[in-house]
Amino acid sequence: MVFSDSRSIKALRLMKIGFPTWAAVLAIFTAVACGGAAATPMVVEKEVIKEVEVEKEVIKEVVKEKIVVATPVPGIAAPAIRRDPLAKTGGVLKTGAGSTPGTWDVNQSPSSSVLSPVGPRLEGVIKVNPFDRGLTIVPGLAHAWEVSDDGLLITFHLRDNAKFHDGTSVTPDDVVASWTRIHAPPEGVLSYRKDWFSRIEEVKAVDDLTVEFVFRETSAEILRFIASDWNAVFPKAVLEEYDNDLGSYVMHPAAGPFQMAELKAGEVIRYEKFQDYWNEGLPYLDGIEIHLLGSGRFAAFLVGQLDTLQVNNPVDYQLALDKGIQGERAVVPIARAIYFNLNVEPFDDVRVRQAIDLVIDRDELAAVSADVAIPAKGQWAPPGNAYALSDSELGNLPAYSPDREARVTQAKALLAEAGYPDGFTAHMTVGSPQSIVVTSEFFQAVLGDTLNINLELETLDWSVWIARAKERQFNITAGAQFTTLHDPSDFMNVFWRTGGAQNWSGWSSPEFDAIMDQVDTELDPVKRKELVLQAYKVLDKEMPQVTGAWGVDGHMWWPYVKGFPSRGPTLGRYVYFDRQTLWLDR
Amino acid sequence: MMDQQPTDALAGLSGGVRYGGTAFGSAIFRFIKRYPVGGAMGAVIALLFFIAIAAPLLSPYDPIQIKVLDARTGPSSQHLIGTDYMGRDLLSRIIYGARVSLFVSVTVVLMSTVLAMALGVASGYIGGRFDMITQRVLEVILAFPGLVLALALLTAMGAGVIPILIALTVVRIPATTRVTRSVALAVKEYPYVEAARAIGASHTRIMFRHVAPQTVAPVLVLATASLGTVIIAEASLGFLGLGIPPPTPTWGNLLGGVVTATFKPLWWLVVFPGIAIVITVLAFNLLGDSVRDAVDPRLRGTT
Repeated sequence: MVFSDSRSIKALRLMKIGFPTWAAVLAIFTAVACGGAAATPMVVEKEVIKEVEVEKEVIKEVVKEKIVVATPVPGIAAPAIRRDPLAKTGGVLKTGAGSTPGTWDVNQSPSSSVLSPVGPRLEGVIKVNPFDRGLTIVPGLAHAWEVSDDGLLITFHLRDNAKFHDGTSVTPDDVVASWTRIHAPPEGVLSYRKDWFSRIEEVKAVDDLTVEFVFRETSAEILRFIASDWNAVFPKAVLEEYDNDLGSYVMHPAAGPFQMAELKAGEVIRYEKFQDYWNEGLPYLDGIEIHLLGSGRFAAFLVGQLDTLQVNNPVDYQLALDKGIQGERAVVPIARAIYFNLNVEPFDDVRVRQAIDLVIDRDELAAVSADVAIPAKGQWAPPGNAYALSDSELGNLPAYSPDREARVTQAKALLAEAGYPDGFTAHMTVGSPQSIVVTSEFFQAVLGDTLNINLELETLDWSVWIARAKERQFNITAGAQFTTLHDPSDFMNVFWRTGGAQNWSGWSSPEFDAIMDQVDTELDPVKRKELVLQAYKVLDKEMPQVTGAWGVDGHMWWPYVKGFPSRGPTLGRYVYFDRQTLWLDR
Repeated sequence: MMDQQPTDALAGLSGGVRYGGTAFGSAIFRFIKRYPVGGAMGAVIALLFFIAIAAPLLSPYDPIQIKVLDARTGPSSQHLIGTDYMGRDLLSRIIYGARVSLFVSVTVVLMSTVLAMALGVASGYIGGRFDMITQRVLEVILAFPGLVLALALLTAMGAGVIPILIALTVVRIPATTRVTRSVALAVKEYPYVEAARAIGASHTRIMFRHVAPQTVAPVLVLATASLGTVIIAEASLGFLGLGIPPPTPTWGNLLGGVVTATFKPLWWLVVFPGIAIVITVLAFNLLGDSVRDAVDPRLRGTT
């Protein structure tokens, strides 16, 4: 083995020292896997994770299949994220984005078009671990944290060496100010994800390095929500100076691995390494350039002008793979669907909605839209998600039956029962992304052929579509819903709870809401999944929308770019925008 | 006093023969003989109109019938120029697309020409404050790039055939109005117009009987050339997703759906609709050149 620098030699020594620890960890895993957990010294009743430094990697053991993670003894700093002993430092990573963001305040935006260019500067109290597909949590500004037995109190112990880009130290007051803005924003300030934290009673500073999150009720998987990239900490003084609105403060400081160096509007956003970043040795890069190239960014990537890029189009993705570019795709919580205005005829009749659901063949839909998206088949959860139905379970749903003829016959019967044996005509608005336009053309053709439902399509610019969807200015519409996390408390609340931010159909079911109340507070994952399945049954029964497919994101990089995490079906969207472990092997 | 006489707008075309019955046929024959390229392009355009009208007879398949199993099939004996992503026959969609493209272009050119002639003649003849206000309004419209203005109008009105006709007509009116106004400004000073005024002809009669006919020649040239431009504009709007909504096939939306979606579209989905647009636009433009040469020999050979 060849080591290129002293850091690597040090890593080798660590590896040697750490061998017994490795062996111990392996033994524990083996014991748990063999069902002998009860006999091991690791049996605990609360959610406790041990963190062991081995070759500067963090190994975590999940007890009782819990995803929530706690950290080492307060006061002992640990690497927050996996290090690569072979990593080279230096170099500037070039990536692409569409255009200059409309706002620079991530908390006031729902869009990755804002989080992506702002992301390199952000740091929260904790982070989702991108290197185990988001299953565990790693330290951020907090080096340790504890969850009380009743789940109503989380205590974060802040590290004493964390600084903001303006040189000031990160204090509990900064965390309190940032988090108050998130869970209880002052009037006039938007907080797009405040519903995630509706059970927070208070965020308060306890001493110079400790912050407590006090909850009114238990909140399932709450650490995962807190760890989202969106929930960054900013200096309290800056928030006060700008009245809690950082939208126009382009260079605003945060505590992440990169600090903003320059904006050339419409051209490039430049970041440089933050020398005082708390996690010594990271980031590996000297800087990041985000080139604002609109639709030309894929061409720039293909010819080597950019080092990494998000490429969702499957044809483009394959084209890049053929050129030797590397990539990975992951299912994300984006639902492409038909939504109904439940206040207008005939869509107020559940039989009409069920009939439409029955005739949409998901496999045909996948084939039709193969040029523009890889649709992932799933009904009420993205496939691969811990709460998704398996393929066989999915096949038991009437709409996923391979017997097309039977489905169409049943759909016609339902439509006739509803009083529309000869079909009807409806005006359908369509969101402008190509994946949705193609999908809607398919819906139009299939519904016309099978049920004599004549849809008159009107394509709308995406921002116009969202505005009209929010106001329910449609009879029937084709579009999408999108959230951040692969957790039902995120996407199911946003999509289907009464008043949910993207409950485009305006569906309201007290039964569903009551189940979701339990889903949101249930800490036992097995019971929680049972509740989620109950909620699916309500959705199946009332069919507030016809979900065609779930989205797939593609992330690509040239082979000389190292350190990309593997996302898998659990990491979710809007993750790993700080890019701190990337390095250039050239 | 200027020694000007009214001219026969189509004198170059007709060789001085008045239209009607065989005289028109004779004029066409002379035109073809003198301008063979124009004649050939006229034949191409006639063929396109025939294809558009006879689309149900000529199309091998229903243009909106999807057949997912046949999706993305390249040119073959079953589908001469292939199928699209929903298995729809591309040749049938291009044939039906000709209907929309030709209907939109002819209607827009007719509507905009009639309105622009009326406005331009009135503006030039009446003059004064009416002329000043009219021209300022037209300058405001001209300040916007045509396609951007059409996009803005369509965004406000929504996509569809009628909104497209309105949007493209509005975009085309200012240029034609300026041409007719400039002719009207010159013609209203001619002696025969003064004579008409002297014998008590009303302003309306003078405008429509004595001034307007003089604008026909330049307007005819402009209109012929514009037919191609309007086809491209309609195709561009379709490409941008604001054209005629699905499932109606248009040459623009045939190109738009795939080209905007991916960096490497299937070649037949790009090449064949593109060829249809190129042939049609080229035919209209070359015919327009020949008509221009015929009605105004002074411009012959210029572009």
